[in-house]
Amino acid sequence: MPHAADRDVEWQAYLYVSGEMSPPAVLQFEERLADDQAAREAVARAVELWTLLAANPQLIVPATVSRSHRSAVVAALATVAALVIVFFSLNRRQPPTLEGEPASDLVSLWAESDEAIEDDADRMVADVPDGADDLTVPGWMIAALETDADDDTEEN
Amino acid sequence: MTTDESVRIDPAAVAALHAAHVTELRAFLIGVLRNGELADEALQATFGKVVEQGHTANEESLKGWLFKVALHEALMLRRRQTTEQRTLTRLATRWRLECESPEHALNQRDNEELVRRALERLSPEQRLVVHKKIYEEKTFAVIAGELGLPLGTVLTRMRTALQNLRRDLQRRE
Repeated sequence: MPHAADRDVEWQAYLYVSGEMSPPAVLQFEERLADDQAAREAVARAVELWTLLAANPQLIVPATVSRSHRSAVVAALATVAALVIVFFSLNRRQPPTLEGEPASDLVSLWAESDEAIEDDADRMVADVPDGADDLTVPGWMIAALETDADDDTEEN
Repeated sequence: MTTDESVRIDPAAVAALHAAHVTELRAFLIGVLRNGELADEALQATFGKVVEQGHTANEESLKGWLFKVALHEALMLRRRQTTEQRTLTRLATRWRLECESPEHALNQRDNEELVRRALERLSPEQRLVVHKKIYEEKTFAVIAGELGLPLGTVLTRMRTALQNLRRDLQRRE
């Protein structure tokens, strides 16, 4: 880890070689150079570092590129967010399931709700067509029951 | 005035001194003079002094003595000349062209990779200041104005960037 004074002389040397020092500061630094070998070597290092960087102009990516990179990231995030919304809206159309509930419980719930609807319908409608009393079991429920039955078999 | 040939520094020792320090010494002279031609002139005068007076220098502090002589020659040249000081970036680019050789080209490719990695480790804010300073050759005051930042913030970013770059690039040696 370089000492604070070392870092200071490196920075002073950099300001000196890059022409960023005021004339009085230049005179003061050159007085220091007359007696301080570390400061003289710091000047040489500042020029060498500059040479190395200036020789590879294509390597420094200006901020405009970074900004466009940021825009690309924002666009990608927006696309992902849109896909997530579409995914959830499509999922809503599928039959609701209660996670962790056995399929047989779901059947009971469905049957009870269907009976309630039927009672209401009896009160409201006088002529009921033949066969309307039959409960039509949805396909997804049959599939769930089969899965449930398979699970019970495996457990036993 | 006559010079006693017997007390002059051995030419082989001068050659060794030149080989060991010429690159660093030239960088130092460019830093002081910001003019490649003047730097070369000062370098030549410095080694002229080594031949004439190198034997008077203490062996242990020969490098320090060399740099001190170089500074003296550089400041004398600067007083005599009114040549325009150039920006460091233009000097560095020119220096690179002057140094082109197959061996240098190989080193250059290695250096490119190291510089790329070191630059990638900088924050985008530091990289932007480095870009504006080195390639657009703007002063810190102008950069601060363009970015709408206090001058101190721009200086801190550049200073931190240089510290990080120096630390990462020193590992190549």
